[in-house]
Amino acid sequence: MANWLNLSRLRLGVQLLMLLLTVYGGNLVGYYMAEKISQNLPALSCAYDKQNGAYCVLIPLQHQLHHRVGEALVQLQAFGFKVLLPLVFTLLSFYAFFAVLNKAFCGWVCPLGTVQELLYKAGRVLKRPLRRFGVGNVGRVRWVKWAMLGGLVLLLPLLTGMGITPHSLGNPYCDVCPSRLATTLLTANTEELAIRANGGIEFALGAVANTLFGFALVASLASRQPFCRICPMLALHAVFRRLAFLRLTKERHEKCDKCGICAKACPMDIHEIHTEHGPKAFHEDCTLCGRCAEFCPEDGVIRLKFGPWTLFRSSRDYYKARVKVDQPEGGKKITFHPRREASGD
Amino acid sequence: MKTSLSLLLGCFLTSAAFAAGHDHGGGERAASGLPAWTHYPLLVTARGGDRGGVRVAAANLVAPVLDVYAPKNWSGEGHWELPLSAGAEVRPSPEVGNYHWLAARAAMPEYVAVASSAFYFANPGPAPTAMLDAKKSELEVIPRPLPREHAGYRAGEEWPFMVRFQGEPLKGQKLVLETANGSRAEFVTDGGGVAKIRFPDDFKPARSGEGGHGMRRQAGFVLAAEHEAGGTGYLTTFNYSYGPGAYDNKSLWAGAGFAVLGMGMALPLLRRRKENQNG
Repeated sequence: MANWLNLSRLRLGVQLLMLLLTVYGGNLVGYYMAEKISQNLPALSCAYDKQNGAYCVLIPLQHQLHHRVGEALVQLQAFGFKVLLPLVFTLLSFYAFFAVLNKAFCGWVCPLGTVQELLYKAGRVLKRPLRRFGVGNVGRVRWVKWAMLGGLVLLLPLLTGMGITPHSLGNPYCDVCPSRLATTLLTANTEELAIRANGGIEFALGAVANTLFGFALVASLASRQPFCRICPMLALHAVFRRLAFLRLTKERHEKCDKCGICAKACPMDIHEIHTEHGPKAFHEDCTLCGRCAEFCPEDGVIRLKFGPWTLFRSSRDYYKARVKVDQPEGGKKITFHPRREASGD
Repeated sequence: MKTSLSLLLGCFLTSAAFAAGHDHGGGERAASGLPAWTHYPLLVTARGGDRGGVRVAAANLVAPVLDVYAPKNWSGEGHWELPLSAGAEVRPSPEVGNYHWLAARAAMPEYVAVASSAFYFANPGPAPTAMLDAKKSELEVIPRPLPREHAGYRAGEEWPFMVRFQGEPLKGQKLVLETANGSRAEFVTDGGGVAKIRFPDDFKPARSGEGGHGMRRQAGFVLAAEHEAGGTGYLTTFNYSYGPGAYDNKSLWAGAGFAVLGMGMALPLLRRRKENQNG
């Protein structure tokens, strides 16, 4: 790899390209749904953005649970072919993409992830402090993504389709998703920022969405990817992460116990990358960004692998070059130059 | 000539069967069951009891058959005819695409009238671009494009429509817009045969409980073009529905206010502390 091109810069380039593609890509690939790259992309590529290049898989999941599965559970005779088949196709279509890149859709493709990372970089420039979860408190937020997936993406749309909850809870995750606001605002469209003024559930969902969006924007200046930690897409990925070609591997190494730089480099505060090895090191919150491998100072301990092939492996030489320009937490390396003597020797 | 075309149009103004119990677009109906808001030919659609089908009837036009075009293989198996006498029921085949083009044609010596519309099925398949580009009748009013999924025609928005004759764009052609809410406007196509239609903001304020997801207010509209060539008069319409404006019953200020509230809640994270910042 050329000196100027490290894994982080490569990833940033891919992220910016994917940001353009997911937010504005409809101008390139086509306008109608059938022309999109995928209607079940494993990233928060929002369909409310009328210029987007692909649709997020969480949209058809909610709609099918609402309009098909839920409604058909009430009419059980139609359950098999007409109901389950579209849901299976949605999941298979999602998996066709996911099987290749796995959770890298979060770390390399998701437009909201990229926006948060760019804000975090801005926070480093503005010298804002770094807020992170430690071993003792990271568990407080990890369950939220499962609640979001189970409650907002799966359960409420299903109950709405069955007529138990109101129609306004038919796609509740989309209603609170910050990516809907971020991607539409990036196209200079303020429509999604406006919320229902008539009170009720839609007003409440809009208020939650906008508050969450505002919080995530500012929190991103001090914390790495704050929304990603509770994103239901992260949970959906976690379910399938053992069934894809791209993955993270870590071998046991005697120096790991005394080091822990990999955990500092992890934007998702996954301390297990330091303390575990083998399958447990590829944690459910991992976004396959590869920073742990970049900042591991030992040869071949952490790898990004595609099937049997190693795409990137940690190495001491790479680590030395990397820490000269960047800190594990993401800020620029601060170097102190010794003062010259007044004599001018 | 326009007057004579309108007089000839009167020959077609006879009652047509309507789908029972349907209220497409929220337009008012006369006692006869015809839409009271326009005299132009229309295709009126109503979802059937089954998820897969839609019933179609012609209004202000007596036509023998309904032509249906699917985005997939629109020049072959994707084009079929259904008798319109008692209303037609369109059931798309799987995987042939979302939007289907509907057209009914009535021809007399020296006069041809065509009513056209589109219907959206939740049905995977190709995009309708090629199907829309194809010539399907002499005089055509073609949306370019149709509203995408998760979108629709809305008050206050401008949407381009092309008028073609024998497949060629017609420049300087007048297009008349009439809506079920009582608006009427005229537009003229540019050099490329395209007119940008601005939908009027003519919805009454929503009553309590109206306008929520799944209860979207809609009204019908029709675009009509009349043209004469070779001693024959042509009238073609395209009808569909539109909804209230993007910010109808919504507050941008309230939305921005909650976003600012969220930002304020995150501000403490930006403050520097002297103690250990980890955890």
